[in-house]
Amino acid sequence: MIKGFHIFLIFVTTVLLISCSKKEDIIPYNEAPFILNVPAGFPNPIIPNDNTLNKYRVDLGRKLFYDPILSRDSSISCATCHLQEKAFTDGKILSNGVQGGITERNTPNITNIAYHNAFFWDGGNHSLELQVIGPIESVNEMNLTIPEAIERLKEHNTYPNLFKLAYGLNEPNIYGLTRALASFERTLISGNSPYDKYTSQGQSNALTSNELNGKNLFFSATLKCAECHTGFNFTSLAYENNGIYLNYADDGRGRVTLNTADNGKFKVPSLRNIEVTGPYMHDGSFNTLEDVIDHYAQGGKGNVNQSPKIGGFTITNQEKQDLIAFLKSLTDQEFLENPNFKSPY
Amino acid sequence: MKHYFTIIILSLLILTTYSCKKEEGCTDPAAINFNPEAEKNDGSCLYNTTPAETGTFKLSFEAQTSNGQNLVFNQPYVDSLGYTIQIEGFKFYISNLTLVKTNNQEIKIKDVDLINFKVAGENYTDAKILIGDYKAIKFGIGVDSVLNHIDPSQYPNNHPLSLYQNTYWNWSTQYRFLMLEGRADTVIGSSSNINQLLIYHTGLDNLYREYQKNVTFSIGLNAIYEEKLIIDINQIFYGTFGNIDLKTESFTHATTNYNVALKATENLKTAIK
Repeated sequence: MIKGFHIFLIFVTTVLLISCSKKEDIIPYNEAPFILNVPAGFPNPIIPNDNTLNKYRVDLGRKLFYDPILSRDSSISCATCHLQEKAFTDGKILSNGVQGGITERNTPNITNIAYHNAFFWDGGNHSLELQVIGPIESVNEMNLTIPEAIERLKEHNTYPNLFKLAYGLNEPNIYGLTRALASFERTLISGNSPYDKYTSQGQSNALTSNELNGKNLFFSATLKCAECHTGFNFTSLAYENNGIYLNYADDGRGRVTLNTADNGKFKVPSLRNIEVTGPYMHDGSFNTLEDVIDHYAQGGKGNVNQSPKIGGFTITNQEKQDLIAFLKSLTDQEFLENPNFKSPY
Repeated sequence: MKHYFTIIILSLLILTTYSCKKEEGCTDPAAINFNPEAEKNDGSCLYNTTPAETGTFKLSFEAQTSNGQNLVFNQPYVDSLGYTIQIEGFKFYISNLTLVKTNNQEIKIKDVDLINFKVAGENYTDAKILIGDYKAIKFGIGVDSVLNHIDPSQYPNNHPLSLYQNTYWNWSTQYRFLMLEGRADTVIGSSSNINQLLIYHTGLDNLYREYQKNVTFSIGLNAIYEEKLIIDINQIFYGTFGNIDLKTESFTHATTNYNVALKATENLKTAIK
């Protein structure tokens, strides 16, 4: 009888102990920290407080980035136009969307996009998270409304669980979709080119004499390349009219600001991995780096909004080759082959 | 020995029961002594005032095409210039719905709502309001500059600003304020070729407009007061700010053909009666 009472007491105590324990947060965010590989000489990128990186978020973003589920006919993914081996561009003048759609502009290089403060060639969006919506909904790109995309993700075998792990969501939603893709994109950091090894890693033999000569030209007051392509990421992030046309078909930044003084201005692109991101300019109108240098040497077509920084210069053939050699020293082979950025499928 | 064991178990039981007793307090977030830790309401809630005495204010809109005819979607009609047109979509945002009391006190009753003429039951907005005498209705046409720049991914699906409303452009413009769509035959007097697409999507902070109607009314306890505003679509095309030429100004996306968006914006403001 007493033994039975003991068992009863132990049982009651156990039940009480279990029932009054606080609800545990079962989402193991902190068990999956993500260490962002910030190269020497680079600052830490600004990451929104509501989207700090963790492994689940980056992994989910990577899966979504490579998954054609986000296009209307499930034929293309983000990676169709953003190919790793081309520093997340596609080598085309304009890019192909679903059902014969063609983009209005050249696919931008998203290398080091974590360091940008505005997105698209015209900076018409200020959040990497919200930028995600653009290509998915654009009729010329993936042509899927966000609610349609969410429905597909909800019905998927694995995504609901991945959204729960990454963001604690009961089901996939817009918040998680935009944040996961941004999380993966923030990891696409390139800073281990020969130029970086020379500049930030103390490897004085990382650049050849031709490349060093090209570097001097690049930063010279004559060529003024670095007045726009400045800093660790080789961009001022400003909007400039570089005078490739007398009359622009695309108003660029002017479409955003509705200020005619901004017509023909586009965001200065980063030159990192420029060797593999051609064709160049917002409309892919220049095939080679030689074409680009020739354009700047000629001093532009004289558009009314042309940047005063573009005034032309003389350059010998050898100097041009050296300058190109320097630009190619910005190619980060490790980045282009990094297994963490490849398709997870 | 057995006694010691019993005592230990009993002590543990008492301790456990005591320590896990639910915290009692006021569980009503509306109370001034709300205790977020409390799990059980002990009846101690205190309130600033007695619950307000309210009624309901309902603001409804009716769209008309010409000569006072009610809008019927996808049904061609002849407009005042003789063009045959049909309207296929008509919605717009209102923000900061505010009622002005006769003592000039202004009471905001709604942040934002989407008025959609095409969906039954979405051509109005309503809200609870203190009983009393009122003399004016104010609201913004469009989404005000604060709401226009809030991250849209945070709203529940049925919120008027949710991406599920399909009213948001993530590029530059943010929310479309007015969305008026249809088709027209651009030959006056002809109705055999109604295929010119008409798309008037306004937006941008500087096309937000404030509207006011002075009207006296009273809100009674638990009563519903409805104010019905009529919008003459003809006046959106051909309004006080100038005519929109359906042939050469058949569309605007606010940033594209801004001047057409400006005309539609100003005309809409004066088309609401």
